[in-house]
Amino acid sequence: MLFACLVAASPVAMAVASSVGSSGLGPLDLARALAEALGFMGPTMDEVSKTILIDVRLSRVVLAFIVGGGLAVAGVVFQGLLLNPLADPFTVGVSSGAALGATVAILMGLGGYTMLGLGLLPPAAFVGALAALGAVHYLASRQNFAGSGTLILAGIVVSTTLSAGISLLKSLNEESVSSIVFWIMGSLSGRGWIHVAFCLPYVAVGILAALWLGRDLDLMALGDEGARQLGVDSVKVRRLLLVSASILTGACVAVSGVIGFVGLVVPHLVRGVIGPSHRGLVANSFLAGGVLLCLADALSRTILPGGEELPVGVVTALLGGPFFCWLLGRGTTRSLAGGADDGASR
Amino acid sequence: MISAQGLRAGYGGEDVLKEISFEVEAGEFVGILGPNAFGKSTLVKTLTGVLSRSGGEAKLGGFDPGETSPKELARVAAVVPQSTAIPFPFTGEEVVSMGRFAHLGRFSPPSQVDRDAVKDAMERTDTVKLANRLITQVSGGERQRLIMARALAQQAPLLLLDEATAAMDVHRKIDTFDLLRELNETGTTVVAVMHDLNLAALYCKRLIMMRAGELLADGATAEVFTPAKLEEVYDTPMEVFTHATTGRPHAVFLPRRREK
Repeated sequence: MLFACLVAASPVAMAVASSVGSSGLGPLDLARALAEALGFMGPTMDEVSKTILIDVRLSRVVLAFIVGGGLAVAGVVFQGLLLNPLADPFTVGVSSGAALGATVAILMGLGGYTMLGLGLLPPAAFVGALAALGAVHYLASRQNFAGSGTLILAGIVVSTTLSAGISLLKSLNEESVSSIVFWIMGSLSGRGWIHVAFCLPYVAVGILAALWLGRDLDLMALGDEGARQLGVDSVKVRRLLLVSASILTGACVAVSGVIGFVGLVVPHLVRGVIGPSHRGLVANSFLAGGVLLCLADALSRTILPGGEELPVGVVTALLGGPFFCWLLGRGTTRSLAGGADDGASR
Repeated sequence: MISAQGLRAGYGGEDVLKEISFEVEAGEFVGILGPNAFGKSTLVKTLTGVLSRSGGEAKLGGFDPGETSPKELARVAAVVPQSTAIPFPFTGEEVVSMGRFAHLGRFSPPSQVDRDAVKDAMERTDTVKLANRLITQVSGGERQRLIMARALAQQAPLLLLDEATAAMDVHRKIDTFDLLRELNETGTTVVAVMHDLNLAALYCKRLIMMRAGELLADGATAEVFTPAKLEEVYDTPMEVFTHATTGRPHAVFLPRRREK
């Protein structure tokens, strides 16, 4: 049911997002441009409008959809593996790690390079993501994961430090403050089809892995030991899924910077509707994340008067921040820490 | 079903289990007793392959737990763990269905056999009415019964229980052990790590007593459930008498200091 709605909503959201902008071209123009580009209609549109619609807007919207979906799926996996409702690529520090990895790669001049047709930036971001995840995991495990707060606390400490590192690196290389802000808050400004091609293979691999291991991920809710006793090779599954989620995050961050809260909010909303089974959660969250980020990006392009753009991360944070507070206030985290009685006997 | 020879295991180079040897044959009903930190969790973890052993031999249903895939082991032995926290709002039925994991292909939906196993397990544990309740919202005892159902749904020839009834009320404990006895009579091997001495004496045909990672006694309940053995294991004065109604031995702990 939800899946059907989301499948229907996805093209609508993309069409709506492609139709807003400063040049006054609407959904009908988009339909015409698409029909022409695919050869269904003779050329009747001027090239400029066509370029704006397809190469500027549509490509950006498609990218927003992929990034939003990818981040949402990464959130599903992190929440499922870390048994923590507050986990998402941003709050566990992975996004910032990826952003630092990508920043270093760009400063080393690797930004435009490809290998076997795949962009090198996502792998660099992936390395940064894994390093950050390792650091957060280590910090939290020193505290025996005492409650789900520790992990998030470690994540936010690492995240903040890395963001400062990014700012410093970029400043030393004489980049403008605005480009730094757009990277740290996340933005899809000026992105096109090349970036879609850049991140799509990685996002696809990450999502397929999450679907493949969906049933295993359900059982990981019982902890490594419990899952293993029911037949899950939990050590292997954990490793594979952490890598997948880091690849997903790395690919998304490499093209868009750090967009927070999509990976936090979307899995919760979807879980609230369809329940916690992970295969459905992954598929639905991908679409819902895509729709959400498309619309958030459209808002970021149009909300300021005079054609100025806002980093899309500002929009998602304005939506996600209050949601995060509500989650904390509602006390879901307590039930997630396993309850005092079970925590002690672990 | 279980074979341990000089089994050693522990954490960070320090052995918690110190050369444990015992055998459990198919069809037995064995209780493992001992004070806290005697290595019972370590024993269960080592037998189920969660923890690798540091020495000796172990076999579970003929398989070496260190070298067998978790899926294969899960078809031989079902574990009812002590800690039953499940953080996500799965329904009762979904939790019980998790017991079928080891029988399912990666993308195959549950077959009639799987659905029957789940249904039967829920009926036997009186959890049918919890089918649509969320696991995050049921009581500790209800959760333990659902976990028990999950282990039954696994349909393994060996049931390993680790303090599985600790959070249950008395009548549920009795229900559970009556059910275990019934399963045992139809061929399931039951090995239960227990704290409740008298519950163990009431149901187990054989008792293994451990302390500080070592085996202190192993034999038929009537033979080892004696004041001498129990005092050695628990370091507490005890009296044991045969209960008039059940005909089973019953232990009474004595205070170290008498009332004045």
